[in-house]
Amino acid sequence: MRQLTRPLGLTTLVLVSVTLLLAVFGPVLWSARADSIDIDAMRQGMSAAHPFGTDYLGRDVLARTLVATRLSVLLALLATVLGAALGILLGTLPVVLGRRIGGLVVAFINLTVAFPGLLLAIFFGVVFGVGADGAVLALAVALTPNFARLTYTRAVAVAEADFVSAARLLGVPRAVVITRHVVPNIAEPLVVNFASAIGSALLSFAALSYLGFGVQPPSYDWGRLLNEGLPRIYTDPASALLPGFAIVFAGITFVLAGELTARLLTAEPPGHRAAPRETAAPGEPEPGGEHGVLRVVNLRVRFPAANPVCGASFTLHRGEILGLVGESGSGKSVTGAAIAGLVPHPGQVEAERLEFDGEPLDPARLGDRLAMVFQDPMSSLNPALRVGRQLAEVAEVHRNADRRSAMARAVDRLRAVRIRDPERRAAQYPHEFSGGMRQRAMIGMGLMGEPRLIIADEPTTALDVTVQRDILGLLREVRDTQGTAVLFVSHDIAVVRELASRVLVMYAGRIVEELPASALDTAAHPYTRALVASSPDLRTDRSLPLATIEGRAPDATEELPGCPFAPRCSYADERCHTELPAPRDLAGHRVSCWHPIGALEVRA
Amino acid sequence: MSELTVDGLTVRFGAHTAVDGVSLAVPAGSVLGLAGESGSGKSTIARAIVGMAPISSGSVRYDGTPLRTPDRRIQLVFQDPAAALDPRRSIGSSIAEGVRAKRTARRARVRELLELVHIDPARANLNPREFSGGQLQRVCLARALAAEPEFLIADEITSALDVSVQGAVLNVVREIQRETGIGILFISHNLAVLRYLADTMAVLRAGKLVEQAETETLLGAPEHEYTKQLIDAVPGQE
Repeated sequence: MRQLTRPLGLTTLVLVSVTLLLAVFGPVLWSARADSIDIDAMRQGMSAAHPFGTDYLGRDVLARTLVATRLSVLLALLATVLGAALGILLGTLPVVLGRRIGGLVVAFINLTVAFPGLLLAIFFGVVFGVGADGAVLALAVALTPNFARLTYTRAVAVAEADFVSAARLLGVPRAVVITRHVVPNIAEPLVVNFASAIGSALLSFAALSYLGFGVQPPSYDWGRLLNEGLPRIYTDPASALLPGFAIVFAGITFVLAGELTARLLTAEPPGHRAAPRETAAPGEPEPGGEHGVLRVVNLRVRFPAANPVCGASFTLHRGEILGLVGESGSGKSVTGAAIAGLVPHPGQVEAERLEFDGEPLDPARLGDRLAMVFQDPMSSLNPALRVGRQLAEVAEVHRNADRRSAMARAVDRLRAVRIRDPERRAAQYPHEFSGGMRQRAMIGMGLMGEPRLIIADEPTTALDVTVQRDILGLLREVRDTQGTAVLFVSHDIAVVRELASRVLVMYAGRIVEELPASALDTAAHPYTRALVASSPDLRTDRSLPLATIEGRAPDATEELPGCPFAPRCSYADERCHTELPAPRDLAGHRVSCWHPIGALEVRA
Repeated sequence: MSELTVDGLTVRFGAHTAVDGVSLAVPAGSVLGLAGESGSGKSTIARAIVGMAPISSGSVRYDGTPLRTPDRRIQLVFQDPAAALDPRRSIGSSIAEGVRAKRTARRARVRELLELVHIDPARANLNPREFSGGQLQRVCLARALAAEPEFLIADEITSALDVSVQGAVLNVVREIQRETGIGILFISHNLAVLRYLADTMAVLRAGKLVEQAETETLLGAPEHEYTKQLIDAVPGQE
């Protein structure tokens, strides 16, 4: 509803009310004046008695324009309603009819959409006969294709949705499925389209009347008035300009109304607004004495409406694989993106320290010392370029290599990531690669330089387990042979446990625990414990229920004064809800919790 | 209650054979876990059983007679719970859709079903967007149970969920199975999840069945080379 109080909303509301008031009360108030013929005052210019002059029978143009509001709006509305009804009917036909006849209907709709609406309207205006009725019908028919196509495309999308299948499996009759599930879910775009269609119907109708196809004397709408006034445009411009202005005014009004409806309908459900989360706990000591490959102190990422990372600190050493584990929305991927300088606009990255290789991290100067591997290699490789070319480009850009040696290196790197027959593969396009091979190629691209750090964001999530194992092996091999550090971001604690030596556990934008991978079973933070216990592995006791965490993680827009996990934590007490725990060291774990499990009673 | 049998099931999409002569039997009250990697045809089998994919040859029988779909006795739970619930209807009304009863009795039954999946019945009037993924998946289970099915097909129902809520969904499936004695075809790429729920397991590869055995046997002493590979690839094993 906030949309209504914004400038666009307010303007639209005012314009719509003015138009509707005029349409309702205009004829009541000014009919007599508009219809009074005054032979003495024919074709007059502007005067006190007639601010916008008079027409060929001495009638007041202003009064006539105001009175014409009702007919103009009414006819446009009528045409739109008819057109929408016809369109919705036509658009649902293909869904109801079988594939063959339905296909013909779709082809017909697509054909008619190709014709300009006004042309159709004029054509049908001639067919249906001159006059208001004919013009309404003509315009309705002209509006039909648009509604039909919109209805059809939406209906097909909704009809294939899982919730429609589910209803069918429950034995809900077809007609009920359509009225209950399909129609409400296509209504939204239709309503938006309807509101703006009134605007264009109004303009089209004015055009028809102006051309003489529409409203006939003695009735009059704006198009008719424009038609009467225009021959005198050079002598008495006001009498032609006023109906013209009215048409433009009402047209804009309804187009704005369409826009506003769209915004109102697509607006997010009332959410919490940019409540900045408390940033890092006070007095947090800096971890790690010596500088590693990557040193991050109190990293924060802010967006206007959310703060996905609020105070992450960690150090990554040479040749180390560090796991960053968390659930969706925990901020783990944003952390990786922030280090690589890939946080999308309007996100802002701040940190007390962000050092790469001992110097302040400057994304522009990272070059090929940092490589990034994403979850979906298909979207990170350019589908239109050969794989070898894409790899070679890295060397050309960062190392000023010539085309030939760059390609030679690309082939060599593809071999290094154990792609068989690399010469042939380099000449292929990404779609000719399997998912696992694409991911290898991405890693190979990262290895075109001599990266000090690879940030791998869920690199195996989209892959099958057998392929996943190969990719994990490859990352380990790169670390062993080149001493590259790896920040491995994943939701899968089992994968992280297998690959990483140290693990960061992230929850609600904070690192809640840092611990050796081997110590995951004896984690100190209740969240880490629950996370480990809730994912079954091949040793889980089948006779017991799995551990669960009730509730849901706070999303990045929520602000909690205390520990973010407190609402779901069985150990939480008063303090946990009100005071944010600072990270402290506990027997090799670094944990942010007031009540760490199995705490060795080392008080911070 | 009786057995669901799939006999020589073949599903072709154009020139591509998604499922190739698969035969399975799930006895009443037991859980069959169907494992396989992406593209192996797991979901296609599920969809073919409920009539959402065309059967090229072979048969699906229930209680010895060929199945005519849609059949309320067999319900399917989908992978993505957010897509499987009408976003414009309250979860209560989505569940009520499957209940065949008079108005008041229907409302009581919805409450009962929500309690069964550990969702507060007071939240029945809320729309899906008010719930987490794990809660929505439990709502989907409740909806499937509303039809009082004798058989449930769960198609990767925990794959789209975070680990912390996956456990709650698996626990509910297990409880339901024990309390109602319903037969379940549980499909997953995750062997650990299948091991936790299934009595017997079948492994699918490129549309063909490679091995089928009791869960303990299949995981403990796999016979087929591919099954061994799958088990070895499960991460987090020492």
